[in-house]
Amino acid sequence: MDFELSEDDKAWRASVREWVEKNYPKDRAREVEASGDEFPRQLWDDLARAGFHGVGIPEQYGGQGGTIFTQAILARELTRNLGGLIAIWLAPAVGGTLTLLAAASEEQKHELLPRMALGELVFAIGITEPGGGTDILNALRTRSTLVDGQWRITGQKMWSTGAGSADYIAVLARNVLPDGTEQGVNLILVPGDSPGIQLRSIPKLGVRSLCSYEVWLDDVAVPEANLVGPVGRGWKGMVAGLNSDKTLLSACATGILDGVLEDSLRYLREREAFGRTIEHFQVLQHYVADIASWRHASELVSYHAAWLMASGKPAASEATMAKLITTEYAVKAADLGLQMLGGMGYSAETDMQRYWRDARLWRIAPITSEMSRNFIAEQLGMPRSF
Amino acid sequence: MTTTTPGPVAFDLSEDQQSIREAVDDAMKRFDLDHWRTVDKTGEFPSAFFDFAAKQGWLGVAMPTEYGGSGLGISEAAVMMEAIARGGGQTAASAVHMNVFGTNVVVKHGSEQLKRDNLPEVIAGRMKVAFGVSEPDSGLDTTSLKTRAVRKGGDWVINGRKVWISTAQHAHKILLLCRTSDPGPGENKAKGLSLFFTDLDRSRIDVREIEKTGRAAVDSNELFIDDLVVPDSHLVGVEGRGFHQLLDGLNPERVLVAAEAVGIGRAALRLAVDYAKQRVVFGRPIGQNQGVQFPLADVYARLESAWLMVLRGAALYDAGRDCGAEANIAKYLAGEYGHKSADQAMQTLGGMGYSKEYHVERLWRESKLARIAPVSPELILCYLAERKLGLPRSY
Repeated sequence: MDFELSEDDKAWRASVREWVEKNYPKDRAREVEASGDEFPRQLWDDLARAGFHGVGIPEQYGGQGGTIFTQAILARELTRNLGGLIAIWLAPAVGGTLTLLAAASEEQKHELLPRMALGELVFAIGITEPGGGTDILNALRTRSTLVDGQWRITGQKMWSTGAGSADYIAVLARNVLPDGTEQGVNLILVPGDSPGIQLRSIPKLGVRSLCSYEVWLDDVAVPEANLVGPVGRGWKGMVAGLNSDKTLLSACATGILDGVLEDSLRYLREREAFGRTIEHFQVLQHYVADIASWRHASELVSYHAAWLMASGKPAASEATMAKLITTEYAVKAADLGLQMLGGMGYSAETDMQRYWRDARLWRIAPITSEMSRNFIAEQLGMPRSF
Repeated sequence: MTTTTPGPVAFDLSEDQQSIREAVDDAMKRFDLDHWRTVDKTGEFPSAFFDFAAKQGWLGVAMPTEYGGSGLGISEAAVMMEAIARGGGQTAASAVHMNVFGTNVVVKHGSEQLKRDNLPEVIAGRMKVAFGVSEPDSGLDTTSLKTRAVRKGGDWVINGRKVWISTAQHAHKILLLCRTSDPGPGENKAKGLSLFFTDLDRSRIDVREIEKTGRAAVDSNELFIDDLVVPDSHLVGVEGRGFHQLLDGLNPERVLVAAEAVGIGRAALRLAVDYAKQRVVFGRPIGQNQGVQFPLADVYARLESAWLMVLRGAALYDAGRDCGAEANIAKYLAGEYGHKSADQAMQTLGGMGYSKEYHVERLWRESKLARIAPVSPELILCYLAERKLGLPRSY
């Protein structure tokens, strides 16, 4: 067993870190998050210029190559400074790149992936509905019917991050035959500017300048060719996307832990109280020791899930565990970090409050910690409890 | 079979306290969570609520009757603040918090003149008060503060900086803790600190607001004090005894902050329980899942325990007994569990908890405040370890 990163991966990590330190130091990321934007286009464009949207897309489709492991390294290093703004990269990577790679036709891949790699296309995910995210198959009310060579889609989606600026929203909808019977679910790329789409931004706790939307689709017409995967079997692309999402999110959570740890250490070394720097106080040392330990554990489970997926091995349990472990740790660490910085942590002039607000989402989405535990318990052969 | 005897049981609220709770609960229907969400969004000081509270006589609940107060105690103030926070969160509580307890030090130690000039105004809501203790380099290490007051003729001249001063954008008066003499070698650093209750003179005090994570409508500020001239009559109590006198502000403050934290925790718990009852997933309300209901039951138990400690700390203070440990314990438990409750509520509501529309998001941001200020849980544990358990000082 070898835990060492390859030389290539090390160099990749170093180059991403250099890029983010130069282009998006924490002060700048904080300003971007606090801006009134609905979609930080400059950040998107800068990521495009750096080629980051093409990471994980094979060269034959115009990408930079690399696996989900390569993406995980990127996601962690970017999140260290960007915090929850990483969603601007993550949502399209999951809803676009990884979903398409898993389920799209060759033709679709050749058409869409090169443009995705260049940052010309923004993808948003339209899966969750008002009736539920975790219980999606029961909650799913959105319907799609093929009429005269077009999909007609009607329904409502929630929490579609970036939908307001998306070229395509990957919409999951019931496959309804003209006679009204249902046959599975479809995954359809709906152009964001289609007539019949209405959007409302949902004000939220974190990642304020990257809006998440409630999306209404009223008889939206989409070309038949925008279906991803076979008719009625859109599930495959979505599941592939969701497992990748958990794995990449575990890398992002590790990035939060990186940021929290270094900011905590810096503050404890600078701040004086009772005649010495507060790094001398044992309980604060213990907080930091916990955070460092959590980061270490997070790094390992995150790498492991990414490695399994990159190797083509089954990873549903491991991806879920990695998501559960790392996000719970990230939230705990940001909370302790804020505690150590005290008033300064609560002030909008430091990054700790941003990590704290942003990381909190990940105990809820894309799957709650509770549903993660239910899933893991079922994998252990226990009866379904819900 | 047991027979029940009518009549009060230990820890029952008194009749006064019960009627205060009912009155506040009723009034908070006019200032409901939707109201406070808007206040939080605009970031403007909630004057309508402040004026309403003044009119109801809430600001003077714990003030002597001879100055227009109700002559009740910190216990009654705690019941009131719990209900205000339960109805509107920290923003609502903080809007009136300073006027309710901030002049308690003046009541206990101020001259008759100082009381007559100020207390009726504070109670009527015509005068707002700020509390000027923390400094940039001495948050928890209060006695190492640097702001100095120097005698000049019959006056004092004050220079220094203060930080995290709430409501200073609107306050007319400020209670300032300053160093007036240096302690001798080996003497306690608390010696030589003095309190002044004086005008917040904006020509001499530069007030800069600090943007922060929660409670945007009730400002927090950094103060730069430059040659502020204060008449000797504004000195509170005895020169050099300011820190000890301040305990008559700090202990009630801890009790009230604790009461508010319990109120926020209960507000969040109620939202979580309502949601868990009506949200149906996998064919049944999510509250039927043990994974959902146990954490909520746990929070309920913890909030109840914190509330008893609030009542105990307040009762000791009102009886004129030492309440340092109890006030600190109340603040510790309530701060931790108030936030835990908000956090569990956010988890219960899921995405809706993260959105701003269901209030939990605001309570979550606000409830963290009571875990940081006015004293951190870490320092309370230091205090308890030293004072109650006799363990050696660790810092």
